[in-house]
Amino acid sequence: MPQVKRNKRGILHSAPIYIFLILVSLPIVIAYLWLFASSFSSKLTLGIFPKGLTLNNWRFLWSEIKLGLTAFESIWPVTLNSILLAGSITILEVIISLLAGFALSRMDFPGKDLIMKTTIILHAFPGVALLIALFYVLNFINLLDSIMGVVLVKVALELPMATWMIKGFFDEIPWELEWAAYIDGCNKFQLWYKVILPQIKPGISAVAIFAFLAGWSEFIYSYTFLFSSEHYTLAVFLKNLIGDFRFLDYGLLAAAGLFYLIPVIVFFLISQKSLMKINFGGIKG
Amino acid sequence: MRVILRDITKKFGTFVAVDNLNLNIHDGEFVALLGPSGCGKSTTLLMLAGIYKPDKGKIIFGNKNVTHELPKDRNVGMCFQNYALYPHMTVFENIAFPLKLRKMPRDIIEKKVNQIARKFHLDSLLNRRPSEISGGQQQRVALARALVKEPKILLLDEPLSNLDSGLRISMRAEIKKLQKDLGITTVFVTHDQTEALSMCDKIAVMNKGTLQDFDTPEKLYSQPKNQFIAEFIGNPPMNFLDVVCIREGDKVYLKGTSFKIELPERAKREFAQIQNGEKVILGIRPENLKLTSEGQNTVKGEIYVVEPLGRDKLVNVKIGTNRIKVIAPQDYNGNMGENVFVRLDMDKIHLFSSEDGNSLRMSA
Ligand SMILES: Nc1ncnc2c1ncn2[C@@H]1O[C@H](COP(=O)(O)OP(=O)(O)OP(=O)(O)O)[C@@H](O)[C@H]1O
Ligand SMILES: [Mg+2]
Repeated sequence: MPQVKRNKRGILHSAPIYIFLILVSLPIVIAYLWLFASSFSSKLTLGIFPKGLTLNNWRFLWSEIKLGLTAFESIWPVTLNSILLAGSITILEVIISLLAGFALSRMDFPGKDLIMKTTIILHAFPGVALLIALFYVLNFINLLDSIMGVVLVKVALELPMATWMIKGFFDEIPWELEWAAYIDGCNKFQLWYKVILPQIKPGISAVAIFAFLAGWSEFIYSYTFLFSSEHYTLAVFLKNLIGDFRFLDYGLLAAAGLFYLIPVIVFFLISQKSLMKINFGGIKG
Repeated sequence: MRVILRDITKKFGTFVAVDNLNLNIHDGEFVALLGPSGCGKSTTLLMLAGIYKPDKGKIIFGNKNVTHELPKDRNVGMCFQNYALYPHMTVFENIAFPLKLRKMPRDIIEKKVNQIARKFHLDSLLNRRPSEISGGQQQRVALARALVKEPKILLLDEPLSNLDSGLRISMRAEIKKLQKDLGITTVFVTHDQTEALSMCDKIAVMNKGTLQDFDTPEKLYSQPKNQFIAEFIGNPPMNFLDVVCIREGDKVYLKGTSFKIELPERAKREFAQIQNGEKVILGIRPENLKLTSEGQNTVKGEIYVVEPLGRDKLVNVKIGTNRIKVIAPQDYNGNMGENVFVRLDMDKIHLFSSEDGNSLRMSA
């Protein structure tokens, strides 16, 4: 069959490309392999080959862990904090970007252009440069050392991007669709619920996914604005695990790191399809 | 249901999109809103649907003032140029949507949708999404969706402009037949004068937001009220020549740069108001011109280009600074650059004021 022949030749032709790609991605693959292997073994030989299978590294799931002077009864309260942080960021970001995106796409009001331009600038602004200013602000409104404070900061910084994304989805809905819905007998609420929302569902899931992942991996603001250990999130917890190099337990670190990674992978597998549908600012790809 | 628009004005900011529009549409009439792009046709239609609120004036359906009623309470069906089908619903759900919103029982909805789907030959497509059917099919779905709720008024915004020319011509007949069968008052927006002439009972010609005339196709064609209507209706469009009116005794002549022709009795009566020495615009349709040999009351010109149209030929003739189009028989064999003489059917001429473009016909 000619197709098979073509395939063989194709493989020959693309072999150098594959080899190159494999070489380039090798370090990442090895890193993940190391993470996985070392979390289940007491010792590693030759870097990635485990020796002595054990679940001891995963003990943080059921027993107390000491970090310097503070002891955590288990990792679950910390995980809960991370979920709370990422979840709140997601909900807030979706709601606000939905409203803002709608206004920017569908309504005419003075200063709209200016708002859209500043939105882009805000997105380009490096958030780290704001650390000290934000510290003062949070202190002033009494939200220092509170998860909600970090949520607000993170949402504010992520919002421009999310708003633009949602705006793009609104832009693609023709006015005629709304008009047709009104003429068919919709009231305002039915229009939203039955016609508009289904059109921007991929946009909402995209924003939600990005917001959740960003919240989950959020580190710098949590690290700076959260001091008490009962507010620690997973990222900060991991950092503190590494904190004291003299007593660094690589097995424990690997297991905790993997634990931190699981929700991200699961989330990504579920939401892959929606992610593929995104086109930023309405530009078709 | 009869539809009355009274002194309707619609502004967008300071821009006047529709200016003091008055229309009186009888029950069951098929009316076209005709005009060039941007003249306010869609705006007018959307005011009828209740999407836009007029800034001034009244809209009356039957005996009821509906100016302030919401679209859902007006019972109109509308079909948009881009069809505006709901992308997330199947064809069935699209057609059923207006009925569902009226909380009709499930089995009646099903019956009605199936019935209308059969009528529009959509039976086999009911489970597809709008993106999975052709443009012509989408258009039929849009029509079915507009008609399934048995509206009192049907509004069509250029429903044929996205179809290929063959389909467009067959859909013209379909829609006309449908309208007559249902006897539904219909307003049809188009910028294609052939469509308006061939389908509608009456045509409202609009330009730059103002109504030019509202009359039957025949009347608009044979006695256009102004130069805009004369040029817009008819294909190929009417020819225009700049002339001066000269009265000598009881004879009236039209004098151009290179010709002088006499008005016959009938035209003299029709255009009796024209003064001696007045500059006017002579309008005449290509089919009322004939290429002949030199003679009395002919105009001399030079062939600019010949366009064969299949059934006949369209000869472009240069007369002074004006250029006119003449319909000639298929076997006409004049060449570019040759001199020709054009005879005008003087009973079919139109004269317009060179100041405001209004017709100078007395009865108008
Ligand atoms: N929402 C709006 N805001 C501002 N101006 C508008 C709006 N809608 C229409 N216009 C203007 O009003 C005028 C009339 O528009 P309309 O859509 O009624 O034209 P139309 O006759 O339907 O033209 P077309 O044949 O191109 O569809 C246009 O000049 C248009 O630019
Ligand atoms: Mg229009």
